[in-house]
Amino acid sequence: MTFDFDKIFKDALGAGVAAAKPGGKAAEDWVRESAKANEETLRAIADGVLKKQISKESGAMLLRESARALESEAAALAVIIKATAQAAVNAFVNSVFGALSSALKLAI
Amino acid sequence: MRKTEFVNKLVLLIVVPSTFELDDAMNPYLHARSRTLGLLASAFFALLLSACAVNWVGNYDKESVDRTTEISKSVLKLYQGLMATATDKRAPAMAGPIGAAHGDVESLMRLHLLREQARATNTESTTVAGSLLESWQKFTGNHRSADSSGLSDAVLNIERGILERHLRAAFVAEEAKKLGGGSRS
Repeated sequence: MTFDFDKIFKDALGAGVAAAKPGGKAAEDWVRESAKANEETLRAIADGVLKKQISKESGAMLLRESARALESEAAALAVIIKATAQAAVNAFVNSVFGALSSALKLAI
Repeated sequence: MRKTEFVNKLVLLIVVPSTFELDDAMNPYLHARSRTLGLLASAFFALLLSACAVNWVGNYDKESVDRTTEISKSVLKLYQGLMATATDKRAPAMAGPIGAAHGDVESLMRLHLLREQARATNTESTTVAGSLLESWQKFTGNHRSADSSGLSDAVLNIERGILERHLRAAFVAEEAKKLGGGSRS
């Protein structure tokens, strides 16, 4: 019985990388979207305070809540990253497990 | 090959080495033992790998998306109602049905937070649900305050934008769970 470990791990690495690609794109898109939304909020608050449409108290409260929204966006980004890593690791493990099982099945 | 079948064959390999077809006529016993040990090591490695599957994020939950959609509808409707009301009539309206609607929205958000807290490996979605509720409470407090700008178009627009950011984060977090491979519809 011979195992071509190089091929098994190369295939597994390929499977892991392929599984990570959609998540990588999603993370990049979300960071851009989040940054743009944050910028728009901050600009609107600054404009409102300058034009005296928003009191200083309300302005300060809105700034704090904008920061809280940024925390929500960071939490969503964490889910994207964790899910992507999970998909990559599991694809790698499944690929190695599948290859070893097939080789063992042939051997047995 | 199912794992139980795999383990059974492995036991056979160890206990009954004579069941193998051997191609080394000079030293069949040693050859079989070496082959068995190789198989055993590979099988152990494979079993170890099968136990290495990770689960860092919870499964996608359509009910969570439905709750977030319901909250989004209520929030947008309430802000639409407030902004459609004349500026000088907004404060009195807070004592009426619009004020009561604030309470209904908060109930939806509280329920959503409780349901998110009850889910396994769901720290991030719980954080988003908690932050949404806290922002909502701050905005409700601001609507009821004596601050003259608390119900102005500028403030209401920004508040709505901030709430939309929380809600979008909740949707994105839930959809991202599909990337991990788990799902529950």
